[in-house]
Order: sequence, then structure tokens, then C-alpha cells
Amino acid sequence: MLTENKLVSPLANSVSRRQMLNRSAVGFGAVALAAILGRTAAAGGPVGQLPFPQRAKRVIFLFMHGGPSAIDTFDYKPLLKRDDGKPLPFDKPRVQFAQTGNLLQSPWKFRQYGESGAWVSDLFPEVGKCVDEMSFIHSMHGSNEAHGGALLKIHTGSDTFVRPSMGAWMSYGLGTENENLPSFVTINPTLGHGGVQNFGSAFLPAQHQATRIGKSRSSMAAAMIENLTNSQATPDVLRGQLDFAQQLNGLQMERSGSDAALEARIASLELAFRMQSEAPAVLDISLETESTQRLYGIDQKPTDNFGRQCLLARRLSEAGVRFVQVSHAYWDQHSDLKEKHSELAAEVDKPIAGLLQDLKARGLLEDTLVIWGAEFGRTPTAQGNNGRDHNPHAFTYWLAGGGVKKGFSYGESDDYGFYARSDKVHVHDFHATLLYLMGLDHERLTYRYGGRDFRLTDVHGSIVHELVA
Amino acid sequence: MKSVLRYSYWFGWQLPLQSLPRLTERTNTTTRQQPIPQVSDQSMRSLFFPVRLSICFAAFVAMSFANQYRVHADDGTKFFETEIRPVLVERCYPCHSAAKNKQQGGLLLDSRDGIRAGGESGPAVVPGEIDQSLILDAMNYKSFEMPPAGKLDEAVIAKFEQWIKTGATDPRVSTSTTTGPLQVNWEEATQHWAFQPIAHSVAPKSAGNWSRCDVDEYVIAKLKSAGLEPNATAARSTWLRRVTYDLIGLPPTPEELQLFLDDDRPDDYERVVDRLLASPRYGERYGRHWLDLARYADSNGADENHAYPVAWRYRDYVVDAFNSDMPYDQFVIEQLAGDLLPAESEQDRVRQLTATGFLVLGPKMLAEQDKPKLVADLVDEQLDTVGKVFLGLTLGCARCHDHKFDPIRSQDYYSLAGIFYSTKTMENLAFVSQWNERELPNQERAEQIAAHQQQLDQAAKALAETEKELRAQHTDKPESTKLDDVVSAEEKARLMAARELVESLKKSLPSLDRAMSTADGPVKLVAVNLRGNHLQTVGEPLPRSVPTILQSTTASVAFPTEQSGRYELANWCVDPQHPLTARVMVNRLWQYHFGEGLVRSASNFGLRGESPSHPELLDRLAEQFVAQGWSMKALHRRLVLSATYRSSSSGNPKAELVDPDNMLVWRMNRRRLEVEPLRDALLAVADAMDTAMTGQASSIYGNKFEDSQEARTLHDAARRTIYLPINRAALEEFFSTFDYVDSAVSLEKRPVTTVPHQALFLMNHRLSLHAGWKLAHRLERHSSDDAERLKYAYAVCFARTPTDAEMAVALRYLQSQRSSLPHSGPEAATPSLAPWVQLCRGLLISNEFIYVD
Repeated sequence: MLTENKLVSPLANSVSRRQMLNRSAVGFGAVALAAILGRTAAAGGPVGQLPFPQRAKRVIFLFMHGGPSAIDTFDYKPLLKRDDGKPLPFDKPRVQFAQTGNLLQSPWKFRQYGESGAWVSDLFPEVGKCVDEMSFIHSMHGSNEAHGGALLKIHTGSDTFVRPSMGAWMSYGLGTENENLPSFVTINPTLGHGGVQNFGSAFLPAQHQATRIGKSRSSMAAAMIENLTNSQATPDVLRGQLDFAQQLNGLQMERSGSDAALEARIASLELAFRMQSEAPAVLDISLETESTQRLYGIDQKPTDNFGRQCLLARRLSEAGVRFVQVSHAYWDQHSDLKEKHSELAAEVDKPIAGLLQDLKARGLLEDTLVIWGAEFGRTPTAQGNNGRDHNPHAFTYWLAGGGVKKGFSYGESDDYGFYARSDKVHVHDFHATLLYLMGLDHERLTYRYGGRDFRLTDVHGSIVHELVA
Repeated sequence: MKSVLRYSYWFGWQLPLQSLPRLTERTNTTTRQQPIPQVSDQSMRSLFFPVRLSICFAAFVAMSFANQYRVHADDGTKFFETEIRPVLVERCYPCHSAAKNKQQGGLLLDSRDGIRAGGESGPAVVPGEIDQSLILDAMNYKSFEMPPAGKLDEAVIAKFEQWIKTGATDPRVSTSTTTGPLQVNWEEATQHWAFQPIAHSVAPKSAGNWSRCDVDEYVIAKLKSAGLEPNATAARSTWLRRVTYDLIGLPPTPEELQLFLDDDRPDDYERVVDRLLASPRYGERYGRHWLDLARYADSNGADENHAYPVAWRYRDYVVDAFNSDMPYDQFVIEQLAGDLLPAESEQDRVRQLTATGFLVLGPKMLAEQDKPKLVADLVDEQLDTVGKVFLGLTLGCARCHDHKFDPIRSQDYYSLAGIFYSTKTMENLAFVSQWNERELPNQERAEQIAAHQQQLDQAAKALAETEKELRAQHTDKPESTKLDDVVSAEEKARLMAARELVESLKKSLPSLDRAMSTADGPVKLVAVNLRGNHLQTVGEPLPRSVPTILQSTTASVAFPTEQSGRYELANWCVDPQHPLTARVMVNRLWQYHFGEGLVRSASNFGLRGESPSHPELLDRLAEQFVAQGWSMKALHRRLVLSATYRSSSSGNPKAELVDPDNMLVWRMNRRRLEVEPLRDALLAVADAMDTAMTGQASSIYGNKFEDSQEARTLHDAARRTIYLPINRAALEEFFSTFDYVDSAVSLEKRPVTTVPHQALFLMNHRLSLHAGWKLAHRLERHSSDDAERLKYAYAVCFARTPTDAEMAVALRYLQSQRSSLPHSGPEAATPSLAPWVQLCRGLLISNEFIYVD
């Protein structure tokens, strides 16, 4: 039921379903208008019975734009060291982004962590300490070897057509936990490589697109949602002005009769006012204790900015934002792998570990799903003498919290990490699994547009049940 | 035609629902083949473990010619049961069996019939023919990669090969009722209303004097038969605001309002409509509608968001076309094939070349390294857009398979695709590929260039001579010494002057303007791509043709062997007999005027589209549209002068019960302004609009612009919204906030959502704050009297006079503001105006400002 968006047949002789939805979603007539003018919250949220248990209520997606190398971070390949400098003993893909040479060993040492004994490279010593909370997928694969296509694929499921992003689908499927906040927020996304499409709603209603805070590598010192504040009037003046406008709206309704669209707008003006009053506090990380801030590496180099992004994500998530994406850039090391990956990992390692610890300490990790990954990984073969090319054929994602197994690893890439080998998880499967963890069925979460029902997973995708706790 | 090739969904093969033990494990080499009787699929799972091991290793390792023969002699049943069925059950059934209710790619592998009939790409198994058995291809990850979770062990694949070679014994009886792909019922589909010729119809005649034209007769006849009456006629001021926003996307000015209210001539309404249609603002409004359809943008979006520095020429072309009432058939032809048309003048040629920007504007995966795929995607994007925009057909659906709902086969798609494969849309397919631009002819400029070039050549020659002369004067120095180092100061000055002249002439060399445009490339026919995959073609390249389903109602088309065929395609589209083109366009215009089309799926007239609410009216409009020379202005005029268009938007309990969606048009639909008229209205109430037309959206970006400061500044500019750059990858937030979320796909209709971000924009964005502030100053200039100011404000914002109740509310609000004066901000300097500023901002956030009745 929650997925239906059926167009009515011409000349339908009864109140249409669409109208019913309009009316029930807004749900008030003249009496309710008075209540709204009295500033009562309007009910919202289309969620009925979910098809699956809701193991995760919200998602924090830590997106590493550019494509960190799996084989230098979480996918340990001892043979790569042994065969350093030798040619790859099997064929390279038909289509490659750039030409690569022979195998290149990882500049980093790997060691085992935790009871699960997961291998993690020295790029992520802090995250390493959290492996017993995590499920690794070492067999992720996609289909596009260029950033733009791969970003679109991972975010929207399609590198060919314009489709809603996964956060928009979740917002559409689950609504919001807090009507005073948007249901989908993206922090410091890139505006290249698909840009807004990666967090857009495409043909889904616009309220499901992400609210953006900053853009790639923006300073988080003054993070703010656009148009949330008014420098020219006090809250009292604004309230008075809105009351004036609402009185005019009431008079207009008296003249023209009840109208679902006008009622919805009246409610949304109130909602906007409440957002304006409440959201800035959610964005204000100075309200956190010093020890919490320290946990995220705030006010420390080089972790300050990403620490702020992560803490902001936790605050938004805690306040009920369904899907928060936190982006970090730019992991595209066609050369200088060692130097640049070291710098970038140092920026995120502590904040990510801090986020996981903080969520756990607050009991939020139970039903918050944290995801770490990128648009693709990197080749085990060398580009130039110290870089790696894009590799969509095998890369690693890890999940933590919200209904996934702890200290678990799924799927394998080949001996060098070039291709996913067993228990392959395609991007579509990954999407199907995310929706499943959120209580949604990827085959039933559909939206009718242009005469056809669309899904995040198109006609693909299988749930990876092994990951589910 | 029934024996058409069937295309596979095999790329859609799914991962098994449960993860299965891996077939790639190699831990046990001792298990022996078990003699297993034929078992049902259901009981298979319990036997899974030993069977699995047996498939993997032992039998194959031990396989000799002798037992191959033995298996064969055994009529193969045992071999099937031990080697084949377990693999099918575990690895294939999850996505291809009736029991699992899965038939990916139209393929069922759970019965002999199913596996032999195969899926949409052909038989999975042909006994004895390993080359024709697609299942082997798939298992070998050649064409398809099946099963997708991981390639089967080589040994297992070898078993399948052996099985097929030796006759593919398969004792399974059919367990399912459906085999083969889903298919459209062609006979039924040919009867679909939209594929029928446009029918001539005579308007019904109603009693009474409500009707003003034939359009109204159709409407009222339907209303009457549903027991409904049309709404009362809207107030003159309401109609004026409605038609002004509708036709030019701006509110009427207080002066225009007064003029109309005072006009008692018999053609008062007509005068307004003629004035609006003659206004250059009309082309900006309706041009914008077309730009939605044409997925216009100033950058590529997709993967590499390169700026389209000359896309604006196409935008201007569209605005001009509407303003000059270019006949729609010409408009279609120019956009599809302008570069192939004869031109009578330079101006014509420029216009025609620019028009084909339509085909070039789409988003492209410029960094796609599989270049043939880039081209296939590009052609698909063009074909899909052309189909939706001109024909109301979702042709793109037939790229990967026969259309699921409409009678459009993959052959139809690839026959049309040949036209676009034979069109040059890309200048090159470099690492980051470049779309095609063409120089626009300009005789005057060309002469300037030639003259300039001549000067440049002379200067270059003079420089060479100077160098030669100076060198000759210094033969004492070796040739290898740089000339600059041997000459005297005076000589050096001469040398430098000559060089500078050359450099400056080079720099100032004029060039021809460019536009995004197509050309004909070599003719390239394509075969059907299996599942849309360019690496997997089936059959011979197909001759170009128009879709089969439309061939019986339209004139036949002969495609030339030396040209792409775009010209022929375009001409076919505007064939007066064409059942779709005129219907689709008149329906669009109806939709723009009334808020909803007669067919509510404006770009989908297929079987899954909506049916027309007034089919006879649609046909009448289409027929007359063609008869009146495809004139859009004539159609606008007719529609907005109808009685139907004059109806009020008020509610009516009875009508709402019978026809809640207003399918019968018993009232005018109340509409929320789209982002362009909304932003333009803010500029208009501020009396701050810059009405400059044409020109580059921004002179500041070269190849890239991503949310640059310059682009942002431009968004604050006072030009109409249509002239702001559309950056696909970083769309300005107020666009997407107000439902213009995607400039990468053809958009038949803007969605309307109501979200708090919209309210926040009007409450807090600098543009609306500024508009409120400017409006207050306008009021101040208008009068010093509160009541007069209020009336003027209402005229500006809502095109009407306020009611007594509204006056009272406003005056009370003013009073309260005066007793609590603020603050900071620009209004603080003029405290007497501050309450007015707040009041004006209040008007701008009220519902009436953004809704049109």
C-alpha cells in the first residue's frame, strides 16, 4: 500500500485514490485550519505496515568519493606482495579507464584486529578497533569504470538513466521520523560526477530529495541549511508576519472553499517556521561535550572537518533524519597512492571510529546502519609507478549497526583483488539489502511514472541475507 | 512478423535468494558419484550436499571416454539427474522457475519445454548443438554472466557441454504454464485509440448561451451527460491574472488591470489575448515549456559536467520560434533535421543549424571508456527524447527488449536507431569526448576574418623579412646565436614591434559563432542489440524504418542511402495523416493552459498512457491545428478565449463528488506557479526586472562551472529566470525546491509538491526579502495613504482589490508593527517603512501569491 502511486482512470466516478491520499496525508479541513493557526503540529508520515522487520531505522552513509583502494585498506591480499612487479596472471577487463601495468603491492602493512580477526591496513588503525561491530563485503562490484557513471550507479542504481537516489527512495518508503527536519540530508557532496542527481529525487516527489549542507570539502565551521535563517527580522517579527499571511490564507479559503493544496501549503508554512526554530540547534555541534567532540577528532588536525561532518551526521540521525550521507574527497590516486591515501585516511580514521563508538554508547547503533564505501575500488595493477586505476570489478564496503552481523565478512575477490570472485554482491544486491534492513522490499517499493513502475533496483537485485544478524 | 527474434533478459538474471555453498570449493577430491534415482525438485535440497560434491569434482576428474559412452547408453537420465538437475535447482531455479515464481528474461529452466524454448534471446538448450545453446554462453560468462553470484566451476560447465552434446536428455515434464517471453497482443494494440487516424468530428450543439466556441460545446456536452454544470465565470480580474501568467508567465501590472476593468468594448478579452501573444514575454514563457521537453541545460551533467557554452543559442532559437509563431511542423523539422534543409538566406541557415541543438543537448557519459557504449547510450537518449516529445511514445523501452506494453519491437527501435547512428552528434570520442558544434555562417564576419587573416599574413611576412634582414646584417655572429642576442637596441625594438603586431593580430582574429548542432555522418545500420548490449547483436543490421505500428496510417518513407534519414523522419512526423504528432502537441498546449491535458500522460500516448477525457475534442483540435498551418498562437487564442477557460476555480461539492479530479473540466484548475514565473513575479513586484533577451547565460565559465561564485551572482541578477544558467550537476537550489529537479530528461509536466523548503525560500531568501523591501518602496512612492497603498499592493501582487476583511486584517497588522519597531537591516534606516516591508513580505508568503485561480 505504501508504495502505490496509481494514476486514476479518466472519469473515475468516485473520489480518486490520489485525492484520498492528498486528503488523508494533509488530513484537515476548516476545523484543522484553526488548529494549525493555533500552531498544532500536523501529522505526517505515510508509513503503514512494513513488509519486513525494520532492523535499521536510519542510515549514515560515509561516502569516500574518488574510490579508496580496497586492497590497501580492508581487503588483504598477501599474494599481491609476493607477486609485486609481475604481470597480472589473467586478463584485464575489456574496458578500462586507463592502462595499467604489472601488479603493485600495497605500501601498507595489514594486521588482524578484534575477536573476528579482520585484516585492516595501517591506514585505518582506529577503525580497525571497531571491526567486531562490522560486516565486510569484499565482493562488491559495479559496472562503470568512470567516476560519474559509478557514482550514479551507487547512488541511484543506474548509470544510464536518471533515477531517484537511494536516500530519496528511503524517504519515500519510510517518511520522516521528525517532521521538523528533512528526511534526507547530504553533507559535503560533490557537485561534479552526477552532482545533484546523486542525491536527487528524479520523478519521486521533490520532498524526497536531499537537503544539502555544504559541498565537497566545505568547511563545517558554519554549516547551515539554505534559507533557514533570516538576518533581517527577529523570530517574533517573523511569527507575526506569518500569522498575518495565515490570516489572509484563512480568508482566501473562506472565499474559495476547502482545497487540499491550499491546506497543505498552510501546514507547510507552519512546518517551515518550526524548522527555522529547531533545525539550527540540531546543526550546532557546539552543544556537544568536549569529550564527545574529542572522540571525533574535532579541533585536532587533520580530523577536525570530517569529525564535524560525522558528529553532525550523528546529531541529525539522532534527531530523526532517515538518511544522512557524509562525503569525503578525493580518493582518486592514479599516482602518489601512498602519500595521498595516507593523508586522506588520517582525516577520516578517527572520526569514523568516533562515530561508531559514540553511536554505540548512546544505544543508537542498534538501529542505525552505518555504511562505508565508494563508487569503486582501485586496481591491484600499477598506473604509472605509484598509482592505481579505477576498479569497479571488486571493492569493499563495510556496514555496522542496524541489523547486520558483527565481526563478519562476506564474499571474496580474487587473489589480487581485481575481480569479485565468490558471493559477488552487485550494487543492485547491495541496494536490495539496504532496503531490506530498513524493512522495505526492493521489489515492492515502486513508483509509477510515465506508465511504468520503477524500483531502486530496476529488475535486478537480491537480498544478501547472510549479512543480516 | 510473429517469428521475430526474441531478446533476452539474461542480463537480468538474479542472484539466488539464498546464498548457496560455493561450487568453487576444492577441498574434497574423493567423493564418488552417487547413483541417484530421479527425484523431484522439491526433494533435491535434502540431497544437496553429496550431490553438490559429486558435481564438482569426482565424476569429472574420473571421466573417461568409456563412461561418457556409458552415460549416453543409459539414455542420459542418470547423467541428467546427477550432474545437471542439481545445478539447475540450486543455481538457476531461484530466478528461472515457476515454483519460485521467477521468470527472469522470460526464461524458465524448470522443465524440458522451458529450457528448450528458452528466453527472449532464444533457446537455452539445443540438443546436440553446443554453439546454439545459450546456457553455455552464459555459464562461460561470454554473453551473459550466469549465475551472477559467481562463475560455475569449469568442471560443471564441462558437464553441461557434455550433456548438450550428447542429446540433452531431460526427463522433466512441464511444471509451468508459461514459457517464453511476455508479449504484447499485437492485434489488440493496433486498435489502441492513439494509433487510429485523427477522426473528423462535428461539435455538438448545446442549448443555452454558455458556449463561446466549439471547444466549449464538447466540454459542456460531457458535463451535461454526467449531470454537471460548468462553474460560474471567473471575475474579470481573475481571468486577467490567469491568462497573463499563462501566456507570458508574469502578473498583470496594476495599469493593465485597470485598463481591462475599464474596457467595455465588445472585444475586450480578445484585445488582452492579442496583446499578450504579441509580447516578447510570450516566447519566454512558452519557450520555457518547450525547453522542459527538450531537456535544455547549459551543462552536460552526467559524469563530466562540462559547460555547454553555446547551448543558449538553442534556447534563443526556441524563444524566437514561439514569438514568431513558427508553424509547428517547421519547428519539428528544423529541430530534427535543420542542418539538412535548404536555406534561402544566411539567417535561415543559422536558425536551422541552431535548431538541431535539440539532438545534442542531452546528457552524455563523456568519460565512458567503452566508446561504442557511449554512442549507443547517446542514440538511445536521442531516440527516447524524440519519441516522447514529438510522438508521445516511450520508444526507449524497446532498446533492451520488445516494449512491454506497446506494440514497439526491438527491431522498430534499432531500425530507428540507424538514423541516429548515421548522425554526427559527437565531434570526437576522445578520453573525455566532445559533442559536436558547428560554425554558423556569417558572410560579413567571414569577410572580416579573411581581411584580418590577410593582415596577419602580411605582418607575419614582414616579421620574417625583418628577421632575415637583421640576420644578414650580423653575419659575423654564428647562425646558432639567437637573433635577439645579436641585434642592437634599436634593431631589437623594430623586431619586437613586428612580433607584437603578429601576436596582437592573432589574438584579435575574429571567429565565426558556433552552435551545438548535428551533421550527417556515414550511414550506419545496426542490428538488434541483445538486452541493449552493443556487444551482443542478433541478426543482420536493420534497414531504417519508422515503427511498424504506424506504417499503416502514415505514408511510407524511403530512406536515402547517402543520408542519415533525419529529414525523412522529420517529414514523416509532420505528415498530416500522422495520428500522433498533432494530437500530442495540441494536448500539450491544452495542458499548459488548463493545468492538465485531455490526455493526462502528455508524453505517453501508448497503451499504458491515460485515455483522453474528450477524444472527439482532441481530434477536432488536432485536425484544425494542422488545417490552420500548425499555428500555435491560433490555438492559444482559441483556448484562452473559450468559456471553459473562463470558469472559476472554486469548489463545488456536487461536482467534486462526481468528478473529483476535474477530468470533465467543470472548473479551472488552481495552479501553483512554477519556479520561473514565481521568481519572475518576485522581480515584477519589485519592479526590478531586466527584460534583456538572448545572449549567453554567463560569460564567465569556460569548460566547467560547478556552483561557482559567478554563477551564483548571476542567479541574483534581475533577468528573467529562463536566462539563468541551468547547471545540471549543481542545479541552483531554488529550482529544485520548486519542483524543477531534473534538467537531464524530457519533462512533460512539472510536478507540484508542497514542502517547507519552499516556504523557507519565500520567508528568508535574499530575493524574496529584497522583493518585499522594493515593493514597500513602490507603495511609498504610490501614495502616503495606508488604504491606497494596500489597494495598490493587492493590485500588484494579486491583481484585484482587497475585501473589507482583508483591509481590516492588514491595517491591524500594520498597527501592531508600528507599535513595535525594529531592528537591523536596510529597512531600519527608514523606520516608517519598516511595517510596510514586513507587510509586503507577508503578502509574498501568502498562498495567493503563488497560486493562480
